[in-house]
Amino acid sequence: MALPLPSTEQASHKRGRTRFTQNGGSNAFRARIESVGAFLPERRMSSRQVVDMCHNKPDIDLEGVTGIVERRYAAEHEDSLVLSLEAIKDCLGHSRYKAEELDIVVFCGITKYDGGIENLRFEPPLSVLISDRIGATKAFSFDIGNACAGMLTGLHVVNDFIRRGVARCGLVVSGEFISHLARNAARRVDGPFHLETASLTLGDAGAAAIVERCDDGSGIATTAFSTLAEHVELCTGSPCPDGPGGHMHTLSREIHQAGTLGTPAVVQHLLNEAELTLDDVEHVIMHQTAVRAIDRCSKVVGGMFGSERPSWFVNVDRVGNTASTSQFVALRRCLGEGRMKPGERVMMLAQASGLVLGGAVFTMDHLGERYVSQD
Amino acid sequence: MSVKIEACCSMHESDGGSRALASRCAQSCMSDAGGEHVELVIYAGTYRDDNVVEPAQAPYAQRDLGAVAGVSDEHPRGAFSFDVDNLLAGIEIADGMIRSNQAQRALVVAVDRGVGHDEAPGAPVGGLAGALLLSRGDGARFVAFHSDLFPEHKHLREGVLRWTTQGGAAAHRMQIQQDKRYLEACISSTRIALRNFFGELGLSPRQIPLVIASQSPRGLPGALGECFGWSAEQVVQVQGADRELHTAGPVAALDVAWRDGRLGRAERVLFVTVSSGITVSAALYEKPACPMQ
Repeated sequence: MALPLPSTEQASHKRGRTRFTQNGGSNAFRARIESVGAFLPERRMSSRQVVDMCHNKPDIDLEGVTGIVERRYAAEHEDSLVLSLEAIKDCLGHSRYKAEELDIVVFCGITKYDGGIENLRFEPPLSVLISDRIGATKAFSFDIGNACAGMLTGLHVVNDFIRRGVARCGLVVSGEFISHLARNAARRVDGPFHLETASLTLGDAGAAAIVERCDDGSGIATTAFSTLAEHVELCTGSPCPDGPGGHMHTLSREIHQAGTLGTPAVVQHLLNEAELTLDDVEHVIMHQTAVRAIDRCSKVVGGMFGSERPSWFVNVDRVGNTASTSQFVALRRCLGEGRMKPGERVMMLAQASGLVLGGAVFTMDHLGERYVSQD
Repeated sequence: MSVKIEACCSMHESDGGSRALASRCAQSCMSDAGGEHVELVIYAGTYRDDNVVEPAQAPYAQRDLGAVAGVSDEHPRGAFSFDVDNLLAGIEIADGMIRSNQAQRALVVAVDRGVGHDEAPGAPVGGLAGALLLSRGDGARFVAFHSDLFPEHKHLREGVLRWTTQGGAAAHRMQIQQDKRYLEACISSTRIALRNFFGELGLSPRQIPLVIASQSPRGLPGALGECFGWSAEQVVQVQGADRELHTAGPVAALDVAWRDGRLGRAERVLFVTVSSGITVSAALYEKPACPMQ
C-alpha cells in the first residue's frame, strides 16, 4: 500500500517543471542573448609581477610574448561561486527577468571552488547552489563541463531547449577562480617552454548570460561544435600535488597550432548554417589566450575567406585568459563601451582543451544600448 | 519523430580508472548497436581519475571510440562531446539534440570511479559505468522530462576535495559526507517531485509497470516501491554491489531490465534519479502501443 503524504508535504510544492518532448518541434523558435553580466576582481597583476613571482627567475618576456599587460586576481573571499554570483548580479541588473522566472540554470565553469582555495566542490553541483542563492528554485539546474568552451557549450544547450519550444529563458554562468594555478606554477616554471608556463596567463573572472526566446527574427542564427578528440591530452588541469589549488599542463605550441588549423572549418560551418559570408560578420570574439594567437587566427581565417571585414576583439591584454568566461567577459566589455550596433553580426568562437572547436553567430539587437545608458 | 533507446550497457569493475571504464563501456555499447557513427558523446559523472577538471572527460571516451565518433568524408564534423553532472539531464540534452537534427545518434556514458578514492571516508563510490545509445526513430520515445530542486537539503550529502593536513602530511583529500537523514530526504523529495510529474502527465503510479531509479542512497529503490505501491518486480534493483552505485546506477538497472525481459514487456517506463542538492529528475519513456492519455 502506498504511504500517504505527511501534511508538511501536502502543502503546495509546485517547484519543478515538466518539459514535454512532443511540444519540441525542430527549430520552431529562435533565441537571443537577452543580457550579459561579468565580474572582475579588483586586484590587478601585471605580467611583470607574475614573472617576478617565479622562484626560478625564468627569462620570459611574458607581456611581449602574450600581449597580456595585466590580469585580475581574486581576493581571499572570492572563489568560483562568488565570482559567478557577482556576474549574475550584473546580468540580472541589465535584464527584464527576475531569477525566479528562469527556466534553466547551467553552471559551465572548469573550477568549482566554494569556500576558498582549499575546497573544490564535487557535490552538490554548483548550479544547484547558485539556483538556491538567487531564488531560481524552479529552474532545471545542472552543470556542464567543457573546459574553456564551457559557457559557449552552455549557450549551445540552452539555445537548443529554447528553439525547440521546451524553455523560454535560461541562465548560463561561470566563475573561474584560476589565479592559484599561476601561483603554483611559479614554484616550478623555469623558462618559456615549461609545461606550466601557460598558467601564468590566467586571470579570474565571472560571467553570465540570460538567453530568451525571441519572435522578431533576430538573435542566435546558429551554434555548432566539434571535438577533435585526438588532441585531448594537449592541456590538462587537476588539483596540485604539492599545494592547495590547481595546476595545469599545456603543450602551448601544439594546442594553438591545432586550434588555428581547425578554426577555418568551424567558421565555414557556422557561416553555412547562418547563411552568411564572413563579410556579413562585423565582430569576432574568439577564446582569449594571447594577443598573438588572436592575431594569427584572424589572419588565417581572413586569408582563407578573403575577408578582412570582421574586427577580432582583443580583451586578453587587460584580463588575461579567463578560461570559460573569456568570450562573455569580452562581450560584456563590448556592450559597455557601445562597440556593437543593432543589426551587426557577432561570431563567438571556442578553442578549448579537448580539443573543442565551435561557436555561435548572432545578430545584435538593442541590447547594447541598454548597457551604454545604464553603465 | 521520436528518440529511442537503441542500446544499453553497464560494467561494474574494481580495476582501472574512470576513463578506462568509460571507454570500455562506450565501446561495448556501440559494438552491441552495430558500430554506426555517433555525433554526440555526453559523459555524466561526478568522481573521476585524479580529480581532473580539464579537459572534459567525454573527449577521452570519444577518442577511444575511434572512427565511430571521428571525422570522415561521410561525417566531416565528427562528433561533439562534453560533460554534465546529472544523468537524466544528459539524456534530455541528447534527446533534444537529436530532435533538432544536430545529431542522428547520441551516446550518454555515466561513470563514477576515482583512483585513489578507495580510502575516502563517508559514502565511498563504487566503480560502475553505464552507457546508453539514443537514436532517431519512430515508435518508442521519451515523452516528458521533469526536474525538482530541494536545496533545503543541500548539506545532507557533500563531496569536497579539501587541502588538509593529516599525520603531518598535507594533501588533497576527497571527503564525501552523507548525513543519516539523506535517504529520508531523498524519499520525501522524490514523493513530491513524482507527484508533480504524475499530475502534469495525468497518470497515476499504478499505470507505471517499470521503474528505473537511482540505486543510491542504499534503500532508495525499495523505499520508492513502498511509497508508490510498486512491487519489487516493478522497481529494478541492481544486486551485489558492495559500494554506492552513483551516477550510473540507473543505467545498470536499465541493463538488468533489458537482459531479464522486463523492459521488453513494459509499455511505459519511468526513470527517476535523485542526486545531492537534492535534485530529483524524472522521465517518462513510452512504446507506441501505449500513447499517453
